[in-house]
Amino acid sequence: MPITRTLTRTLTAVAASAALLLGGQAAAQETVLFAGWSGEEQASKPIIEWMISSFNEANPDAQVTWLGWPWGQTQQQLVLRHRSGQAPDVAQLDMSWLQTFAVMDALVDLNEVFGREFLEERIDPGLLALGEVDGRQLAIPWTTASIGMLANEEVLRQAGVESLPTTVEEFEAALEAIRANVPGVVPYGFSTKGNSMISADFQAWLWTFGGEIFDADGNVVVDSPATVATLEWLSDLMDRGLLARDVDRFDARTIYARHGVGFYDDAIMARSIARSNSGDEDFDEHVVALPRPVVEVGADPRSVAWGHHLVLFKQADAVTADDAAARFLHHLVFDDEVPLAYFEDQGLLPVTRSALAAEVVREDEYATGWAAFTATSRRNETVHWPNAAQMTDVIGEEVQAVLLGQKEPARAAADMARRLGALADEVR
Amino acid sequence: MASGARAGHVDDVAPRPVGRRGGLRRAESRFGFLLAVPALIAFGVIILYPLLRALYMSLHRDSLLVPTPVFIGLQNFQRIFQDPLALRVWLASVTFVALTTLVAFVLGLTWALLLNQRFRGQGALRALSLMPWVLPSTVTGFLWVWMFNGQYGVINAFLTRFGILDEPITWMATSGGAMGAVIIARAWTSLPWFMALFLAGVQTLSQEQVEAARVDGAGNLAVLWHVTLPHLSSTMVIAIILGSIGNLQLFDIIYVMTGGGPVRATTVLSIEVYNQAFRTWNSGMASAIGVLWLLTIAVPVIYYLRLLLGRNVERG
Repeated sequence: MPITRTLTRTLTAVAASAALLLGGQAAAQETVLFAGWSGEEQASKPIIEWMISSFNEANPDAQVTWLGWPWGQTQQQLVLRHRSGQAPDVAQLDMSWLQTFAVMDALVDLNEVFGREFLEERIDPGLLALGEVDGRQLAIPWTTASIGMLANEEVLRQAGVESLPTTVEEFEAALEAIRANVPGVVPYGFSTKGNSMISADFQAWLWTFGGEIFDADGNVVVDSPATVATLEWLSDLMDRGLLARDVDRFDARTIYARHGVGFYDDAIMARSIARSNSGDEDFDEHVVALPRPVVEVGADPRSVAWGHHLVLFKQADAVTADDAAARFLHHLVFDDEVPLAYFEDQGLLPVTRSALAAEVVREDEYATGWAAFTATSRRNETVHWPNAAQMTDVIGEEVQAVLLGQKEPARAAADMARRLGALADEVR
Repeated sequence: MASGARAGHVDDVAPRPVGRRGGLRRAESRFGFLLAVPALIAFGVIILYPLLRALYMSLHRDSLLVPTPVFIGLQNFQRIFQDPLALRVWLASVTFVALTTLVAFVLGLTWALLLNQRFRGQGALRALSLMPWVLPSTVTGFLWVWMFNGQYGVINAFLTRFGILDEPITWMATSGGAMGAVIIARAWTSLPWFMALFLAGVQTLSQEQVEAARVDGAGNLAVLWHVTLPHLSSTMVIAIILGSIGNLQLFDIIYVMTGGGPVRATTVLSIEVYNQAFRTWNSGMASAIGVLWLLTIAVPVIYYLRLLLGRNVERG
């Protein structure tokens, strides 16, 4: 009996001590879950780990941990985690996903956390607008640029292309030169599979040919001569062997790094990806970014705005600027050392005025050239719609049907308009 | 009289032992039921509740983004039946299931008959034959999609090197090519399962029966046609039914290899449910398609259960 009593007392004491210890530690150290995909990718994993560890070292009262998935699964995982009450504190979002989380009312208005004045003082309002929904600052751009065009300098040299094409006519001539002079190389790695990639690449050319999918009032206007002209042009490139079937952005990146593609569309970090894929530290000299060729000389080069956002998910208690999650977001975006290290490592443009003015950014021709044609970029036309994923599928399927010879361009344009109209009506 | 008395006595006391036996049976029955309770609870939680929940959701406009389902009756089903793309999905499913089951069936049977022969290294080859079954299906999907890649795939490299093709074919870029690729990949993974089933069946074939046929002058083909295949007939039926059910449920290999493309050519029911639930967040529509998917699977399942119950009755 006394043994039992002693044992009970000992266990109680141990339990009480453990509770005090754990409780004390919990009070002393605030945990932050940071979710996204960049920390999962081989090329960017080390720099993301450094961002987290540098914050943890400087903030002993906070502990940031990483939770990641491949890019293609991140949106779904974040939606499911939010629905099950397990949303992360800070998350990385693709620019095109913002509307989805806005509809869910899942995100903190960052104006209320940092103050509007603070944000506008540090970030150009044009960039801030990318993270705004209905007057609320639901996201802060982490990096922003566009899906631009890249050429492979080595392939162009072998093809005898001496200057970068500026018009569609010159572009076609360059593609023909590659096909004729560099056997086995894909002249243009336009995405011909993967609806989201086809949709983005198609929209940039559609705007180049003077068309658009929706007008300013949200009416579907894609059944137009410009759309038919764009589809006919792409179909013609395919028939002439200037595009390749069964190629998406990821395939194009792989073969670009092996000098297997002349031109392709990608985001600004294409240079670091090519360096990583090729295993050649000097591969940068072959990577050339160029404004998308235009139909008429003097027209603005078109590209689809692209970027990664950072957001704070709503938690049980309101988030303030003093909370570890807000401080971590501040660390990632506003402590210049961090976005500049990210830029040097991955080539991703920072967003704050001070970081953009840094010498390391201004002296990088590749980055400044990219920033120049990003100025005339537009947001993907589907991102404003809550059913953007369905619309993306429709655009991708109709373009792909033309490229595979299953539909005539005029029929595809009409079908695209009909199907998009039905989707738009569903959510009006 | 005595016997009558005895009989009467027996009649009088007869209910008691019967009652005791009945009591024992009831007790056994109760005990059996108690033993089944954990399984029943698991069934209720894991299968029955999600099934009923899916039926409930199929009658609602429900989205993962907005947690307020609205009852809309049969509108989801109405939309499915009015959508021409839905018929394409169903046809793609039937094509995939029929061809995959057929290919795996024929190859599995052939392989089983080969492995039933005695030769050196038979054991090692049997073990190696299980390899496709052991590999995770996503790994299998990636392996085959790389092999079929139009730019750097080994299949094109092989065919062009030996002069069979003048230039590479972009297999995955055409509807037929993509469907063919996923069928081959799935048939490859399920081949060991079919093979094991047929090998087990063929090993129960009496050698005396085969020898008797040979004495009657039957050649190899005649033995196969008149002895071996009839012996395997019930195994074949089960293999086809279970194989079809498995192929109708398949998601991962197709998703990894084609994502349902190109232009929905390989969008089978499982892919469409996933797209509706996790790309367009429309869980109501995903549930409605899931219900129709369940009804499609129910056809071979019912046939299989009838077969199984029929056998049990015969044995009983």
